[in-house]
Order: sequence, then structure tokens, then C-alpha cells
Amino acid sequence: MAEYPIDPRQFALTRAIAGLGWRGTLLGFDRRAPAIGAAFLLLAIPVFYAVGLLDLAQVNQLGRYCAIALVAIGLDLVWGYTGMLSLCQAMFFTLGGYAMGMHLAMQGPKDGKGVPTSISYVSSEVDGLALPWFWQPFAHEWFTLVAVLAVPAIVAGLFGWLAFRSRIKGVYFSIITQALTVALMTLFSLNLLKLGGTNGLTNFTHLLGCDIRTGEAKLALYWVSALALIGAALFAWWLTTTRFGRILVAVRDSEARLRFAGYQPVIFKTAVFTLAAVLAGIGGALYVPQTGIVTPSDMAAVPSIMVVVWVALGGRGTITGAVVGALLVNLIYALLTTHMPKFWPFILGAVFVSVVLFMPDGIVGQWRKLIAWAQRGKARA
Amino acid sequence: MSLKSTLLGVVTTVAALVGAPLSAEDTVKLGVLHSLTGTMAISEISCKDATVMAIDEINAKGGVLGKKLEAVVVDPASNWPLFAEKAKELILTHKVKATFGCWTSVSRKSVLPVFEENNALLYYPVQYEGEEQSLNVFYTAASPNQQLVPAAEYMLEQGYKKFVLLGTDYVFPRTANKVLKAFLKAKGIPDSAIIEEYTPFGHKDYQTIVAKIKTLAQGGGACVLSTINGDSNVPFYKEFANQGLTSGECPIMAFSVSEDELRAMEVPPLVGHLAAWNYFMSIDTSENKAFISAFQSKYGKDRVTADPIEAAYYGVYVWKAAVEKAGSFDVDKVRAATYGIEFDAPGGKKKMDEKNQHTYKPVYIGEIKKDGQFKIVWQSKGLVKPDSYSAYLWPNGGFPAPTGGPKK
Amino acid sequence: MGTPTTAPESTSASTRTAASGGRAFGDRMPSPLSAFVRRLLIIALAVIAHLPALDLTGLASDQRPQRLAAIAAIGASREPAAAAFLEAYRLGNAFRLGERIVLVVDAADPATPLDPLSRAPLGAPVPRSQLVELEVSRPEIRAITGALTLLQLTNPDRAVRLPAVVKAGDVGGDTNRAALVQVLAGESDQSVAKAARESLALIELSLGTEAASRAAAATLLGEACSGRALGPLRTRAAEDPDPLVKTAATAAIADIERYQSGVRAAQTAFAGISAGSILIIMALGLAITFGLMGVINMAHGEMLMIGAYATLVVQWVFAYLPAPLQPYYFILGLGAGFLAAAAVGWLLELTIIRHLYGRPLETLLATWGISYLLVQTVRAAFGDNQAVVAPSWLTGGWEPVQDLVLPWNRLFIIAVTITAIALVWWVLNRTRLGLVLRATVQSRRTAASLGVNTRRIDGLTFALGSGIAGAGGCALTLIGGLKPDMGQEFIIDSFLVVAAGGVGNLWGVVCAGLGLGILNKVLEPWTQAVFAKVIVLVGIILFLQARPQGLFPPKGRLSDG
Repeated sequence: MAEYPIDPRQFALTRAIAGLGWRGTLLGFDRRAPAIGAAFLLLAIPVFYAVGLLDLAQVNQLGRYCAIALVAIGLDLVWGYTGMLSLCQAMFFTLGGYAMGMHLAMQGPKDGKGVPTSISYVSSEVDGLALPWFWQPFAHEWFTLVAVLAVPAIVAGLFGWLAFRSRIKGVYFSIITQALTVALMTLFSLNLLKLGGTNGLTNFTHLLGCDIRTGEAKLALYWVSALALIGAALFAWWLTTTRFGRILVAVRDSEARLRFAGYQPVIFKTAVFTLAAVLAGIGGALYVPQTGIVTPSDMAAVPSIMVVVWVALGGRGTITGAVVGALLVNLIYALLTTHMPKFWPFILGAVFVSVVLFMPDGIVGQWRKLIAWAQRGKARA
Repeated sequence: MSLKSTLLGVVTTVAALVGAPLSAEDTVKLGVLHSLTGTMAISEISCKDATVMAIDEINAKGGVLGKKLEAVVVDPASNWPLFAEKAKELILTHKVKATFGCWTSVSRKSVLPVFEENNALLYYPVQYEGEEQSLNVFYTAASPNQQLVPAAEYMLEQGYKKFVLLGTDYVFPRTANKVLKAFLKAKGIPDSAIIEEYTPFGHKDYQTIVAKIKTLAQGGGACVLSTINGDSNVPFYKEFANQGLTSGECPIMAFSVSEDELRAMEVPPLVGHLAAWNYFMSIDTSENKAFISAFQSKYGKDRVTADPIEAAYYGVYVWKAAVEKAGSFDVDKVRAATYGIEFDAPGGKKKMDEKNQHTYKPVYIGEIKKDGQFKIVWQSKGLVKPDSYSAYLWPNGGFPAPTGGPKK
Repeated sequence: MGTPTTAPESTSASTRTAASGGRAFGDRMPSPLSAFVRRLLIIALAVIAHLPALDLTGLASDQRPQRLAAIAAIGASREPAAAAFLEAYRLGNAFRLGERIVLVVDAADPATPLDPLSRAPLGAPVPRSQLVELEVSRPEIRAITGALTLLQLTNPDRAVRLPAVVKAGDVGGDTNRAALVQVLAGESDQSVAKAARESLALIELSLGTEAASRAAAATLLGEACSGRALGPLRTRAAEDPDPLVKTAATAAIADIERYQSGVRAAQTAFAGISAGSILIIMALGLAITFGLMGVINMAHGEMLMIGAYATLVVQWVFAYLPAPLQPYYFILGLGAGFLAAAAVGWLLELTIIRHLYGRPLETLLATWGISYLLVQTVRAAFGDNQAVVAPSWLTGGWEPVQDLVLPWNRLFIIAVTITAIALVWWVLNRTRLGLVLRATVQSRRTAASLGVNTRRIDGLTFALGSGIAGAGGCALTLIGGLKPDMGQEFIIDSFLVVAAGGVGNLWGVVCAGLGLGILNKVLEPWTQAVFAKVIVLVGIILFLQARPQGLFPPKGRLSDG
């Protein structure tokens, strides 16, 4: 286990625990506790639903958060491990969401000409609208699946390769990715594009022949999302233990040295950026049927910044942190907007500031430090 | 031993999720779903205030069917997926009997499947583009034939022959202009005399567009029919005045500028421009004065009332009247009782349509005055019947059947 | 379901009488009804013209045609005091009291009736119930506007006379022609005389019976580059029975269009410079805090917002000062905006950002949280829907050449931007603070070892950047609205400008801001506003591919990114 340097001045929590004599208690826990706890909790949710502790709205809500957390895992790989702060992850998420949304719309109610109602409704043609050519293939499940994976991958691969080849780094990369997502949002908001304009796509009813409005379908979608999240987290964790993962860390810590050692950072950076985009796209595709709508506003600058906030809060460079951060911030946000509709920005803002000041490694990073500190104490004793 | 931590986590999370307070037997919950933060807060907070005021008033007079009402106010934060999430939460977790909310078209579209899936009721207080009829929504504001068409007709009668259809690029302006274009063409206005322009949300720079309008307005006979939304109105009207255009040469007929929006604008240069609504604060009746003074004493002297505020306010009373008529809180019974129900609103007597979920309303056209109020310059004779689907877009009838409704 | 005819029926029923016409278009496309009303007016004029005193009793008639005739008669009277009466009438201040027409200007009850022309009190106050408001609907308003135009033609104030002369030409008709001929005869002001000749030519073009005089009018309008004549000229070029007139009209159209395309080019250039200046004033503060100090301040937009709200507060305070001072609140607002934002920025640096130097991404997170706090604090303190009223001296525009209007507010923002750039340049390059600041940025340790209090410098620099943003926010209230989350709209553009310009370079920001503004405005007429925005964003992305560190790449410490 890596030794973590401790700066007692920084960690009020550590001092409090030491002061209360709880240091020994910590030894009962494992540094992997957050990961195991989160996985266990996710798998236990359907049980809580079955015994009536949770209602369908809450299961559905958690299912959506699982889908969202996939984006956070991708960003953790790109930012936490590789050191590139991308501010367009929510865009890949939305692209995957649109691919799925187009499929769902094609399965849903249509007007007399076979055009999904959500786009015929917003068109400004007085005589109605014919189904645009690019909508046709989305009637097929296989094409949709390919599109969910390929569209974000192609956009990320192309953009990433161009950007990394030009050696766009640091804040420039952040700003340029932000410009990209805002440009795409503006484009998707255009009614001319026949993607539903700012209203986006809605009126979803069926997926793979099942009515997604039923309770069983919602539970099934929860299972798929939760398992996809756990699977993606395990995959990402495995990836970081491989040679590829170590190269990513090398890119983060010293790209120049890596280049001198004969590696091509461009390839690795593009690869991890594309992988993160695919994860985000899958997340979007799982999110949309559970939410019932996909709109261009998901590609605004703010949702992508929120992804960064989740990862930072959970602890960057720890895959668990991304998941915990995404689930936790979304839960807090949901609870506060319901129970403190007027004051939630104060609380959420204060949480962000305090995490940065008092918990710079995020929740999971802090936890690991605490455990390391407790174990070191034990070793000394 | 990681089990211990896991259990601890489980317990806290569940406690937080189930933490919604359990309601007492003698209260009935109503959801209020308006954005209190984010870009739409500027418009929606007033609607939330009006809804809450109506609920408080009803409680002060003894509630409905012997039960007190409890408003569950949540903040969907101008975030469209969050609207759907909050709607689910209100219906399934809080078990509200009806929900009052939404402003933008996209937020309504976002929650619509939720209300239809669960057969719940939404009261929607904002004029909108029509082309929709869900049995799970009561539309207490105007449909296009109660706002757009009378306004265009009024401008035609004033002798205007050149029309600039200017809007923000989203569904309300697009559909509104579709209706307006069909109407103007039917009245013999050639395509060459109609300009259609759209700007993105939050657009701030109207230099180019105002210059274009100015060219068109040379020689007179031009007017603007504006469906510009939200805060883009401020820079648009400022640029319009500063480039030397006045309401005398080229009036702007606005469909989204009410007394509440005028508070955020510099009014003197706007005097004489027009707006079409179904309610104005300046309606001179004692009921309206009582409504205004109640609203102002509750929320502050500087607050104003406006069309969506009135609609948000009487929506609660429509629900109450229907519940009392049905003698039940059951959604299907309340819906059946709502059809054709007559009620008193601050702006005068109104009536729900017998079939199509919308409201019979009077139409007013007002001219902006120096004090930010409207002088009513035209009003319809009596109430205008609402269309769910515009007859200008469905000339042969045959529009879609209503969606949603009782669970099969 | 919905029967569509309900609304149209009810609409036309109540305003049928309104369809009278009588404006400019009425002359080109005369409808039977408007022709009838016009004839009625002329008869009324002929009858009343020889009466010595102003007879207002017709206004009390319950027949609309008689009321309109009475209004026209007032217009024809050339009685200077009548203009003020018509204005008051239009605002709904004219009442019938028994048989007389009176003015009531106060809201009191009982109200004091005034003489409509002299405004002398007419006896004791009377209860409101005895006063019957004279109906002012659109038809009356239009008649009043026409009558006012006639009255204003002889107004001694040039600022009133000029628009009336233009309007008389647009509306046309024999009455206006006769009045314009009189005006032109006695006119000493060059620009009014020019407008009057133009107006007369315009009327001649449509009413002239001789082909030669119509052709001469067309030529004159072409020489005057009269934009408002384009419509009538096109009609003549297409429909005139005489080929001579057609040719003259076609030539005139070509002249006018050539002139107008020149005006459009100038307008586009100005619009671009103005949009650019707004981008620069938004980004200039960020060029200091982000560009020089490397702090990613996501609450930068909120600094603009604080400046804007500080202006609002100054406006409120000035409402208590004597009226002549009030329009100058804006100058103080600029200073207040600067100070308020600088204070908040300084506090922010002291409490939070100071602890995060060298950790730019943590700064991002913390300042993001701060932006939530600031937005919601302002929303709680001020509420939504507040308006900053532009001072009178910043409304309207300057017309350096015919048809080219440069709004004062935009000119003012350009001036503020230039001043701010100059100020920042001067501080950075000509003051001790700037010297120490640049030293600190280049090498913090070296500067510290030479006795520079780098912490204090950091605080001051951050306050300066925030303050500039605050002054920018104040200036932005002149073109946009005021709302608590307005900052969010500016932050992305600001970062883009700084990045495109090259981090840490003042001139980069200036060039990038101007370039982006002009590009946007050049694109907009071709592609509509919605596409222009996308194209500009994609353009920036491609530009940064080619020049990954912006226009002016940074040197030294920051260049390692």
C-alpha cells in the first residue's frame, strides 16, 4: 500500500478523530470500503424496493444516477489518471442519449406521415414534415447500438486526435472542449436540424418490444444501469492496473519524458479520450429511456462542469471516487431541491468550497488517507 | 468488516431517501413545480407565489372538502430532466392530488409522459403553442387562437401590411409563426411582405436584426409580431429604441412581454408598443383590485400581476371547484367535473372547455404605458373558445386524439 | 372540437369601424373605406377651415366619423396650443363635462377641470362621476397622429419639426402636400428643407398627374438617396404607365441601393466593433486573473453581475438627489461597479483562492461553488426583475450621415472599453504596482526574495481584475438586462476570448475580442444569428488547432501550460 503524506493542519477531520480516540475504530475498515459499500448498496436497491422501503420513483431516480455515473468514470480516466480536464463529457453523454432517443422516438407515437411526434410537432413547415433520411436507420436496434457507441467515439477520436496532435494542453484543452460542447448544443438547438430543437426528443414508449412506462421495465432498466456501472468501474479499475494505465499516469505526470522515452502520447491520449466518450455515450443511452426526454440543454457548459465537480468531490484518480461523487452529488442535489427549494444553492456551493479547502483529495481519497494513517499508527504501536 | 461500513451507509442513504415527512390524515398535498433558480426563475417565481397564495387563501377559508391543503414546493432549477424527476417524486413519493407548474414548453413536454403514465393532473399556467391535448393537463392559459390570431387580426385592421415575425428559436415561436403565417396568407398578405427571423436563446445583440427591421419600416406600414422569449427582450427593445424606431413608425406586438417582464425593462422608450394577453393588471374591476392588493400585501408593493400569474392563481380554484363538484379527489372524477365548469377569476368570469382541457378566455390587446402598465385598447366580445389544435394548421380537421387519460 | 371562427368574428365585430386607413399605405393601396373617410375629412376641413375659433365640441360626438373630422379640424387649425391638447387627449386626459371639453391632468377626486388650450382652471373641482372620458381608441390615435403632424410642421423647435416633415411625406395626401409647400417656403434650416423637398417629391411621385413631374420627383429622390422612397419607387418602376417615369424610377432605385449598401457596410463594421468591445470588456478582467495569475475563476461572470447590481444601487440612491443630477448616476455607477467587484474579488482571494495557488483545477471547483453562493445571495437580496434605466444622455443615437445611426450606449461602451484597456496597460507597464506584479508573475520566489510582499500583490491583482469586470458589468447594463445569473452567460465567451488571444497577453484579448465580434456580425446577415454563433465557435476550435496557444503565445512560466 502506498504511503500517503499527511498534513495534519489540512485535515480537521483527522484531528477530530484522533482527539476522540476513534483512531482504532478506523482499523476495522478497509480502504476499499467505499467501493464495496457502493456496489453492495446498488445491488440492494431492488430489495429495498421489494420490501417497500423505496418507491418506483426513487428506484428510477437511482437508475438514472447510475447511468450518469458512467460519465464520471470516463472523466476520471481522462482527468484523474491522464491529467486532461475535459469539459465536454456531458456532450458525449448527450450524443449517446440522442442516438437512443431517436430509436425510442421511432418506436413511439408518430404522425400521419410516419414522423415521430416530437419532431413533427416543432417543425415550422406549414405542410408538415417528411421523415429526414438520417432518421430512417434508427428504426433498427442494431444500428442504434452501433450509433450509441460509434457517434461519441468518432467525435471524440477525431477531435481528440486533432487537439492532441496540435499539443493543446492544460486549460486550453479545457476551454476548447467547452467551446465544442457549446457549439454542438447551439447546433442541436436549431429547428432546422430536425432533431426536435430545444424541446429535444420525447414521447418514448417502447424499447425492444417492451413498454418502458411499466414498473417492471423501470426495474429492469435499473438493473441494467447498475450492472453497467459496476462493470464499467471494474473495467476502468482493471485498466488502470495495466501497462496502458501506467502510461496514462505517465502522460499526466510528465508527458515530455514519456515522449523522450519513445512513446507517442497522442495515441494514448486519443484512446483514453475515446474510451471515456464511449462510456459516456452508453451512460446517455441508459439514461434517456429512464428519463423520458433528451434535450440539447444537457450539452450546455454547466452539465459538463458538474461532471468535474462529482469527480473532484469523490476523489480524482480513484475510480470509486468518481462513482461515489456522482451518486452523492446528484442525491444531495435532488434532496435539497425538494426540501430546501430556496436555499439549496447556498448549501451546495458551501459544500464545494469546503471540499476543496478541507478535503482536497475528495471523499474517497480522504478515506484512503485516513485508513493509511490509522494503519501506520498501528504499525508504530 | 467492510460489512459494517456498508450497513451504515445503507441505513443513512435509506433514511435520507425516505426522509420525506409523512403527511397527516386531514391534509391533501398539491405539488408546485416551478423553477426557483436558474434561467427561468425570473419568470416562474411569480407563478409559484400566485399558486401558493391561492392555496393559503383556500386554507384560510377552511380548505377543500374539509381537508387542509399542503403545498409541496420543489425547485426543478430550470433543468428539464429534473422537471421529470420532480414530477415523479411529487406523484409517487408525495402522492400529490394535483400539480401546478411548468413554464417553458420543453419542461411541459418533459413532465407530460410522467403525468400520463401515472394518470395525474397538471395545471399549466402559460400561453403556449397548442398542438397538444393531454387528458392529464389542464391548460389555464391561452391557446394560439386566443392570443396570436386576434392580435394579428388587430394589426391588419390597423392597416399594417408588412409583418416581421421575430422569435427565439424554439417551439412556441416556431409554431406561433406557423399559425401566424397561415393566417396572414389567408388574409392576402403576400410572402414578400412577411419576414421571419429567429435568434438563439439568450441572444443579446440585435443590431443586425433591428437594422433589417428599420429598412423594412421605411415608408411605414410595418409592424413586428414578437415571440422573443425571456431576457432577450431587454436588448431587443433597447436596440430598437436606440436605432431611432418608435411605436409610431413600427409597433411591436409582443406575445411574451407582460407586466412582470416590464419590471426588468426600461419602460419610457417602449410606450405605445403592444401586447396581447388574456389578462392585464389594469383590468378595472373590484375583483381584480382585491387580487392585486392581496398579492402585493403578501409579496411586496413593487410586485405586479400578469397573465400567467392570474392563470397560475385561478388554476388552484379551478381544481377546487371541480373537486367540490365531484365530491372527490379522484383524478378521473375531478377531470370529468372540470369540463364546462364556470368560475370567477381576478380578470372576470371564465369557463373550462367542455371537451378539450383548455380555458375559455377573453382576449385583450394592451398598449404599454409609461408606468409599466398596459392600457387596454381592444377586447374581444365575451369569451373566446379555445382550440387545442389550430384550425389554420388543420384546415380539414382530423387532428390527433387526446393522449393520456385513465389507466386502461 | 375548436371552431376556429370564433375569435376572428369577435375581433372584427368590435373594431370594424377601426378599419379606416389613412396612413402612408392608404395612399398606395386605397381601400373603399379609407377613401370614404378621407373624403369625409376633406369635406370637414372645407367646412371648418373658415371658422375663426377652435371648435372642440365635435370631439364629444358619439359618432366616430364626426370625432375624427373634429380631430382633423384641429390639425388644420394651425393653432400652436392645440398640439399640447392633442397630446393630452391621446393620453386619455380629455373629458366631457356637460357640454364642454375639458382637460384633467391630476388623479385627484374631485378633479380640477382645465381649459383645453390655455390650461387655466375652469371653476371649482368637480367629482369624477361627472366627467366622461373622451374615447381614445386606435382610430382616434391615428387621427390625432395625423393632426399632430400637421401642427408640428410649424413648430419652432427643429427637433419636433423634422420628424413631422418626414412623416407628412410618408403619409402623403393633398393636405400634407399643401402644408409642406408652405413649410418649405419659410424654412431656413437646411436639413428640414431637405427632408421637406424629399417628402414633397414622395407625394408628387404618387399623386403627380404629369409624367414629367413624377419622373423629376423620382430623380430627386434618387439624388437624395432616400431610403423611405424605395417602396414607392419600386411600385412606380413596375406599374407606372409612362416609360419615362419607369426609367427614372429604376435609375433612382439603383442610386439609393448603392448608397444603402454602403450604409449597411458601415453599420456592419460598427456592429462588429461594438460586439467586439463588449467581448473585450467582458474578458479584460479575466485576462488579468486568469491570463496573468493563472486562476481559473468560474465566478468571474458573477463579478460582472456584482458590478451591474452595484449600478442598480447607485441608481436607487440617486433617485433621492435633485433631478438634474440624476442622469449622471451612471458615471458613479461605473466606479461603484469597479469598487464593489474589486472588494468581493479581494475578499475571495484572501479567504479562498490564496490557499489554492498552483492547484488550478481545485480553484475551478471552489470558485464554481462560490458562483452558486453569489448568485443566490443576490437573488435573495434583490429579487428578480429589476431594471437599470439608461440615463437620458445615453439613449437614442448619433446619425453622422443619413440613415446611419450609431446608438449612444454602444458608443459609450466602446469608450469605456478603450479607457479600461488604457488603464490596464498603464497600470501594468507604467506603475510600480505593475512592475512588481509582472515580477511576481514571472518568478514569485525571486520577487519575494527582493522584498516584494507577493501575497499583497496577489490580492491587489485579483482585486484589479475583478474590478475591471465589475465596471464592465455596469457598462453591460446599457445593452442587456439585469438578473442574478447573468454572469453565466458571459463566462464562456470570456474564457474563449482570453484563450484565443493567448493567455497573459493584453493585446491578444483586444485582437481576439474585436476579431470575434466583427466575424460574428459579418456572418450574421448571411447565415442568421443562430448559425453565426455555431460558425464562430467552430472557427475558434479550428483556430486553436492551428495556434494551440492563441494569437500571442505566452512566454516564460505559463508557457508550460
